Amino acid sequence: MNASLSLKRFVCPHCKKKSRLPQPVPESGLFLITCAFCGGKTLIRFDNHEYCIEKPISRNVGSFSDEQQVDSKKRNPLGPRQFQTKGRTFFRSLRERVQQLNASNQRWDPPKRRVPPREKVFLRLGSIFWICLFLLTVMVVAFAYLGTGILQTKSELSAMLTDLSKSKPTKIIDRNGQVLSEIFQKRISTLKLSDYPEHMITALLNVEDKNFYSHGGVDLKALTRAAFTNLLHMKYKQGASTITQQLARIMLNDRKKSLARKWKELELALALETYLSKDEILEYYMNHVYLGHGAYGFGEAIKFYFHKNPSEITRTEAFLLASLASAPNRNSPLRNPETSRERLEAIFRSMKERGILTDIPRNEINEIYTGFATRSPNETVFGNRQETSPYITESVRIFLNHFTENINIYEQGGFLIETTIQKDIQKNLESLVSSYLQTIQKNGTVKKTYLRKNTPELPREVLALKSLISDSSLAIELSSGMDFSKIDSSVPDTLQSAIIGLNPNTGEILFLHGGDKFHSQNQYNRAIQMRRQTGSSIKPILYAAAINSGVLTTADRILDAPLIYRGVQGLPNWTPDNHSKSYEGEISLRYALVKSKNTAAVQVAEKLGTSNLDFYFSMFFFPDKIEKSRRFRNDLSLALGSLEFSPLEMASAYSAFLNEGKIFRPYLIRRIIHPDGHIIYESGKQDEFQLGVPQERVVVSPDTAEVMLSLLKDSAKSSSVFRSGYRGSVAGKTGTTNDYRDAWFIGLKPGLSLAVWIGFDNPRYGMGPGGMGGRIAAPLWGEIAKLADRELSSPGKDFPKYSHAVPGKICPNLKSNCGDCPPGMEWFTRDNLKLDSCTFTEYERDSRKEVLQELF
Amino acid sequence: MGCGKPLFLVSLLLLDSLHADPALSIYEKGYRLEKDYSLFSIPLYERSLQASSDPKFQRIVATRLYYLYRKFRKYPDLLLHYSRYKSLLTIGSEHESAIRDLCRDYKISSEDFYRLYPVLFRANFEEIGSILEILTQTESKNLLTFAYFFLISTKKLEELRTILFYLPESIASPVLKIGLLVKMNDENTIEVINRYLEREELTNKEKSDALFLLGQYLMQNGNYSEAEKAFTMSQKLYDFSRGIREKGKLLVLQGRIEEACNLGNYPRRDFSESDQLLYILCNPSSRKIPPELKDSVQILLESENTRFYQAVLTLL
Repeated sequence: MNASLSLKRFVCPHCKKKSRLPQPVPESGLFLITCAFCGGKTLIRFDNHEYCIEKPISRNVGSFSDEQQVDSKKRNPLGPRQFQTKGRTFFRSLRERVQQLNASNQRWDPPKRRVPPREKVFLRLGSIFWICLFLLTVMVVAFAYLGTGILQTKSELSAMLTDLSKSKPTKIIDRNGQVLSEIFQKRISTLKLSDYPEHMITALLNVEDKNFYSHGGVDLKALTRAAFTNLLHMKYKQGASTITQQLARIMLNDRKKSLARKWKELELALALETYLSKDEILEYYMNHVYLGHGAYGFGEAIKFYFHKNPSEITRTEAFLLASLASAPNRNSPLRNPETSRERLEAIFRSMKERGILTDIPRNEINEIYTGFATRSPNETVFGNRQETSPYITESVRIFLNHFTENINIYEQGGFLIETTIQKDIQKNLESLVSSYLQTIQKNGTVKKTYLRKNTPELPREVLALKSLISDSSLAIELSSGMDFSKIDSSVPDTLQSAIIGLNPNTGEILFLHGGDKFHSQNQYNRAIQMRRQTGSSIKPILYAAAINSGVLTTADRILDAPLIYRGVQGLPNWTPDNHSKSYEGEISLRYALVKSKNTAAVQVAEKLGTSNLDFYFSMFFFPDKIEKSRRFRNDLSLALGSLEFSPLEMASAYSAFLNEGKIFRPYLIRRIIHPDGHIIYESGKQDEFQLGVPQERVVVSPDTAEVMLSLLKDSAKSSSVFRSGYRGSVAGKTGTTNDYRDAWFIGLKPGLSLAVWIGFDNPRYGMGPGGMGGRIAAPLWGEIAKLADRELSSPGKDFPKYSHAVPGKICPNLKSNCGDCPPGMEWFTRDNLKLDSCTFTEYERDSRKEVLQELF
Repeated sequence: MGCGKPLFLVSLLLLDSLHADPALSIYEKGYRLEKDYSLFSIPLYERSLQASSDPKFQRIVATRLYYLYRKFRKYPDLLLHYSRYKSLLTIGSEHESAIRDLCRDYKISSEDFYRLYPVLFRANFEEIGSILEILTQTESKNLLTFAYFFLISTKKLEELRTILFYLPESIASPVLKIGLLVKMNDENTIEVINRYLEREELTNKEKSDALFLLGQYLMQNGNYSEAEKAFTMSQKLYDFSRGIREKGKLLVLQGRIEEACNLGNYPRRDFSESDQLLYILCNPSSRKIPPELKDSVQILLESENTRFYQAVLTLL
């Protein structure tokens, strides 16, 4: 029956009503048309814009009701675009199928039938039957099992959904099992789906699951595509988890890669699809998916990343948030801005290729990432947490961020983190330090001093140091420590202190203090993250290198007299001065360290030479070559502390002198215990602070360590450690940098290597002439040592007796203040117990006997 | 365009040469020597100090030089240096400590030192009476020894001759008088020594000293064979090693290095430039004087003009 197309309707053979033809009307081909009234399907052939009904199709085959279409449209936030795409695909595929059928009919050449023997036919049919039966049985069993699982899951679903909004804290405990703090990682979004803007939902579905509204919990097409891609690359490249599956994974809270977990996830996903509407699934997902930095759900993430309400976010911001769902830590725009940006741009390119977007909003992307650049990579949603050990918690949190990918402590909670901290000391540390800093400011010892800017006039010392360095890029780096332009002036600049105490025999961190009052603008852990110039506190490393290498012994004498080094490229000459600007002539190595003589230190560095300096600084600080290439400058200025180190690095380096020349890598976390009781991490497995150092290393020989300990005992005596009232054993060295920017005291007492730093974050400020290491950092060291003695009930413990260093006679009349040497003797390493002839004694003998020799 | 780069480089070199600081260059040579041959850095520091008019530079070099004089017990030089650069030196109260060392080394009391030194420093013919008075009152051979070296260092040889003339032999040993004659290269030296050696009461040490001085005088005047004999006789009588050292130097200035070095093992002797040169030259590991000592030896030669330094310079 042919009909005119001008009518644009056809009479449905099922209900006899006139139903609409597809618009525009196809020119030719065979189409399956659904009646708008009864939903019955009819095969209609078009030819030159005219049609004829070929065959009505039975109503119970392949029905596609309008109700379903309407329902789908209503739920699908993608709107008509997706539906139209599906319609076109449907028509095209049908046409192709018919054409293929026609083509195959034309080519089909039926084979000559050879009638098999009756038995063979029965045998073959029998095999097919059994295979089919087996497969059917497997399928039936699997479906039955799955069905049972889904039914069983249904009963648990309600409880699981309730649990989803609860979370157990992860506890951080000290070395004796006392709780230091608890990490409540989850801050969950509680928005309704309708509260999220349309473009947020669109972005999420496009990025994570574009067929969300059309699949039944598992996207077979995506699964096949991912399997093919992964097989092609022979590694995991692409995932195919639907949003429902991801929600199931979040609910199961199990990231093990096992078949059982996958099966359970499948059951739960199908159960969710059965008992919840698509909108409900999406809402649960959007409120519970982890998006990094402690933010759970898009509501919290919008607040954390953009400080906005959900209705205020832009389309680009929505896509950025959507990009976080699959890998929140790796794609964090704060922690890994480059990776995040690459991921976002890839998403935009994909959207453009799919015709969803017309262009990539590069300007907006730039603006967003510029904003992120000013924020701390370690910022979390818990900006204003109040607790007794905030810097410990933050250090643990930073470690957990880098922890193994298989376990996400943020998502899960309930872990127990055993630290090396001595809570009894730690809990009193902040108040002690705070009170001390207030005192030294109130009594005028520290006077906040504004220092002149580094441009256009650089301090002569800086110019001179720069002149020593032939590589100009290094010179720029050196002066960058004083680049005031980088300092955020909005942050109030208060006097800060950084403290870290560790056990030299194990590397365990016993207590730490990262700065004044931990809050959202002040989460910088100065004890670990901050690197500053060390001033004279670096000298023991230099002296240890000289003694260990045999370049110098404690019997050697150094001429304490002014020095001058020629400036290069028109820069001023460098004239390293002693702090007192006074000189004492020939002095012993011990006296040079005790009096912190700069001229002596520079000469020791000269005697060591570049290769020895390189070797020993590598041993003490830079076993990692990349770290060394970034931070080490092999020039004489390092003798005066121009290199920058953290208090942690300094305390760790000094620990060698109390541990037979061996340094253990510092660590804070002893163990991490899973909620189910098994240990998932033990100390030593990872370099917690990413120092690039091995678990243990020998930097000097045991006898050198003992000689250094002897020298440092006398050095500490000349500081103001005892002004604090501390009367115990101490060996250490002070350090003060230019313009009193930094005051250091690194000291040892039995069982403790303790670094103390005081200064302002902003190098634009100095502390005035009172801000010397010996005057302000050493007494604070004494106060902390007293606290440690009190809390550990271990006062009066002395350093162990020397068992490696040997005593040897030295020439008399030398300035030497050895406090623990036998009379007229010094401590030597075993290899260097060889004394030069005492020229003083020789002179006395000569001057009596050979007066005439002086004439000629 | 093509010659732009060379021209730029040439102009840079010219600019560099204009900026070159000769005093600093000499200082740098001295500082390089200080690490291994501290004694020989002194002449270079002295020269660099004279060459500079920059107070900051002078402060650095003068202070360094002060402590080197002290280290090598060059007390007359130390005292003169202190009086000349007192305002530039950054030595705190170290000078008092240096005077204590001086008194201890010369075995004199600080009171005697502080009495004698001001007049000694001004020493002219009007002050000789005062010097003689102090020396006679104290009757201290040691105080005279200090005055003797100080006046020789300040080249006040005639004043010293007068002082020695008026002092009794109980204070001023004839050996000191002969030593002065040798220093002055007096033509009567040999006659005076011969007359002295004729004395019957002389000890072996006194004879040895006189023969040593005779050898010095003969060597100074080119009579090497006689000088060698004098040193041999001197070493036989008392101080063996002194005689050997002087014979060694005698052989060096004749160009007989191998023979000089085969005489024996020379001690280092940190306070004497010539002894150190001999020690370095005959060091079995090198058997040569390092070329970096050349400038320093040249300056020593200019100030002391000895044949030994001349000979060493020919080896450099």
